[in-house]
Amino acid sequence: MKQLFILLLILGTCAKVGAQDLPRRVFLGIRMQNLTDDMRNIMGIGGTKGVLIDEVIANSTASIAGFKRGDILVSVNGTVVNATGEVVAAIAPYKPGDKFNYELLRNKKKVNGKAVFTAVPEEKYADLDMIYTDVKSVAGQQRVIISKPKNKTKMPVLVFIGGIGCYSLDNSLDTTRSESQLLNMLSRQGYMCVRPEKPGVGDNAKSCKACGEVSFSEELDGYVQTIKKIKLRPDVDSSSVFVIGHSMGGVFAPLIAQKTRLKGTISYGTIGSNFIEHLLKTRRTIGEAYGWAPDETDAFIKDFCECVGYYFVEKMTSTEAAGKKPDCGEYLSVFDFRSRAYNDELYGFNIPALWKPFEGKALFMWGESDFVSSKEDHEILTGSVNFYHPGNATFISIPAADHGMQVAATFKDARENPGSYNTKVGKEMLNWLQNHL
Amino acid sequence: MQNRLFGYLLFPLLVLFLSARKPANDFKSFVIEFVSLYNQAGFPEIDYDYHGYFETIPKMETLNEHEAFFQKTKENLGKYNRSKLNTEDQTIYDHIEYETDFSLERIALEKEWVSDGRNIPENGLHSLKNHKAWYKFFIKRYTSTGRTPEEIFDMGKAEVFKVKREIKKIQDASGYKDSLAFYTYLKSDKFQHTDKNKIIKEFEKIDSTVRANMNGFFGKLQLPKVYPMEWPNANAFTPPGMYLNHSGNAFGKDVFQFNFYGQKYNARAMEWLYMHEAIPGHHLQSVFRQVKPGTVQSIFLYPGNFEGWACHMEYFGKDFGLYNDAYSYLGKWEWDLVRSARLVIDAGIHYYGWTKAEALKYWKETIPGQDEIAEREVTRVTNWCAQALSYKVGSGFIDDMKIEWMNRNPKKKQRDFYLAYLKSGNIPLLVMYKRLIGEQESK
Repeated sequence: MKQLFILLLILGTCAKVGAQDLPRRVFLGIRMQNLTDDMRNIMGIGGTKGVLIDEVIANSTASIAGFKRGDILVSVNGTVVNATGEVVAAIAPYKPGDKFNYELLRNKKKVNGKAVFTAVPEEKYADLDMIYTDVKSVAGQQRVIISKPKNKTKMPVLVFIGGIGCYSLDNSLDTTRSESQLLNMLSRQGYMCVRPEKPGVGDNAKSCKACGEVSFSEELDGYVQTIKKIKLRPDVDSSSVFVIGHSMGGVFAPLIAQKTRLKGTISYGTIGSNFIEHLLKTRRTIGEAYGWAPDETDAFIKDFCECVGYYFVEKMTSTEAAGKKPDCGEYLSVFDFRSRAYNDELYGFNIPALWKPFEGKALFMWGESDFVSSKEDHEILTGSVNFYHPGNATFISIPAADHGMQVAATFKDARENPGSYNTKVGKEMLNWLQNHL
Repeated sequence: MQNRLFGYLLFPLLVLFLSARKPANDFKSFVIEFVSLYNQAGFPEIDYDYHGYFETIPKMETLNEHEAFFQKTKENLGKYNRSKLNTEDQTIYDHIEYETDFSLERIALEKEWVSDGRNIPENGLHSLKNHKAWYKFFIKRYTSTGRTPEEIFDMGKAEVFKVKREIKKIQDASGYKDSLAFYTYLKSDKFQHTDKNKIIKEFEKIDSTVRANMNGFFGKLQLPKVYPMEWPNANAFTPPGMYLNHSGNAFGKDVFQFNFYGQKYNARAMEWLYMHEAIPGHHLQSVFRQVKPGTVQSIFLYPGNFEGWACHMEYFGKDFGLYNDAYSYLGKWEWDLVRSARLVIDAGIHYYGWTKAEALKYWKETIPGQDEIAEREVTRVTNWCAQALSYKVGSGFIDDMKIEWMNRNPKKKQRDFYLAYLKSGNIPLLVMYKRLIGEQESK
């Protein structure tokens, strides 16, 4: 049922001082659902606008304000909210300590009130130290989250770089996510795990350029500055720094290694050929995941080819491309989440060439139910690294794992019903790391 | 998570507290103390995926503390003379005894597993060192019966045979001699509802029919309204339906949700789904089982009891004025076939060591026209070890119990058994047996 809800965590300052300069974001602390017509009928509230509060999390802004399960949040500071995303947007400008007005509908009656935003909690574990620090990059000030075993010195370091999406790795209220499960497991095995947040997400929303506005190089700088800062810590072995590149993170990995030395890299579900080739290969597996007929997939790829040509080669916007071919609007809209500069840099890369100077060890991993990246790309990467530096690269495919490192039997299963984190991903990483320290 | 962590940290103190204290003077105080200590201990919640369950098994030191807690509970429970308790307290006594023994069985397995290096098998329990004992544990966990793996496997095969015979009867009556043509016809648009408002109206009609016939089955009952609604954000793998009572959702009403993914709903799955999720299934049972906080029944869940009940009630559609249309009746058997095959595959994978290929082969040979969900089903049964048993095994156990009860009480009616079952609430089926059958023996 978790996927039915969006957990609301919003920006702001942290009461804690000294240990961190970048403030924490605010914590409204509700799980909510969009109201459906069926719900409105059952509750007898006609066409009321708002979102349904499904759960109020303890010690949050909402619980202190007295929000209750079953309340409908109608407005925040006068802004009517009719979808979960609208609530996020409505409270984004605030910081902990800020006061706000709200309107609820409770048992069909209006409830108006005032409350004060509190800060989002940090992850806490009995057996791990969690450190919330930050780093300055060309994009601005960025959050860095560190997990490490207690009382250990001279630790090897694993820096996790996420995929292309503008998402946060700061999820203290849902540690079931693959990234958290993987990194906490690795920290328990003696590694310092470092999570640099992307610009503009999580705590970075007001301290950086927006994620959708930064270029590839600007995002890269955040990762490089993070590693440089981490290497100065007295409790790390600065000669044993590895990057775990998830998806697009695997493209950042060799670029990071050109700026600061890495002992090795692990890339999961990444890109191994020029961007258009990668896109075309994976449209075929996407077709399989969606159960399209082979001729349908081929026709889609032909159209898609034309559209990406307009976008990447002729440098049109998605709207301009849609003017040439209406389907391009839909096919290209996914690129609009990142900036033109980001996409152009990505298109310009010769991916095997990025790996040419890398002299460290490289592990390339692909989940056998990952329809978003291709097995062939991982084989290309392994072959490329071994071509330039024989014996340095290894390829492993993980059965029943999808792009998000979750359990899924097939491409179709991965699309429709992915399971929980697939522990085999972490086990294979750990085995490889133990052999390459 | 924080509560769980708090629980673990506090647990050694609780064991010390329990060890140092004399048992409560009266049984009621003992029960209150047990519930309170159990809640504070923060034992891991059930994780359907067995991989997740093994992940949450704590370290040996914690397991020893848990073991001490249950041993002390067992010791203190033994200080009360069961035969001197009233009937309700005897059931509570049996319930605590069941949970204590079951927990000690579990902890013994977990300790052995931790000592052996905490290896989590990838594709089912069969590769575990002590897989037979582990599978028996999982069966009990989900069914709360003492059914053996062999019985599960044989029951599955027998049920598959029986259900296929019922389906064949309907096929023959439909005039389709050729099975391929029959199953092609079943996939036609005729059986797909695409208008949600019509589906809701159809469910409301079914509701009226069932309520009109309900008194004949159970005697006079007043049940609150239950609302059908679309399952929000459903996908192709969302189950056909789910019941949520008013305390289990944010809109404060008793509802059942149906999977309208892709703006389609199988017209053959309306009547049995209503029977399962609403009346006389989960909605009816939920009205009877208003579990009070702080009671033993409030801290455990028994899928064999509630899924077994809902599955069992599906067979009585005709008594409630349903299944008059052959295809609605067929819909009941179609889903029953899936549930029956799951028993065979579950025992096949976890107990007999079937490979995925063997499980898929069995599925495809057994269930016509549903190859597209074969992968999903085999993966589900592999990962959610024994969960799928709760429906058919629970239902079968209730059926056996009813027959025995009726034999012992020839003057009583079927409805008396069912009402006695419902009033007994959220207890393990083995404890239910002791309550309903043992209670009769004592009379």
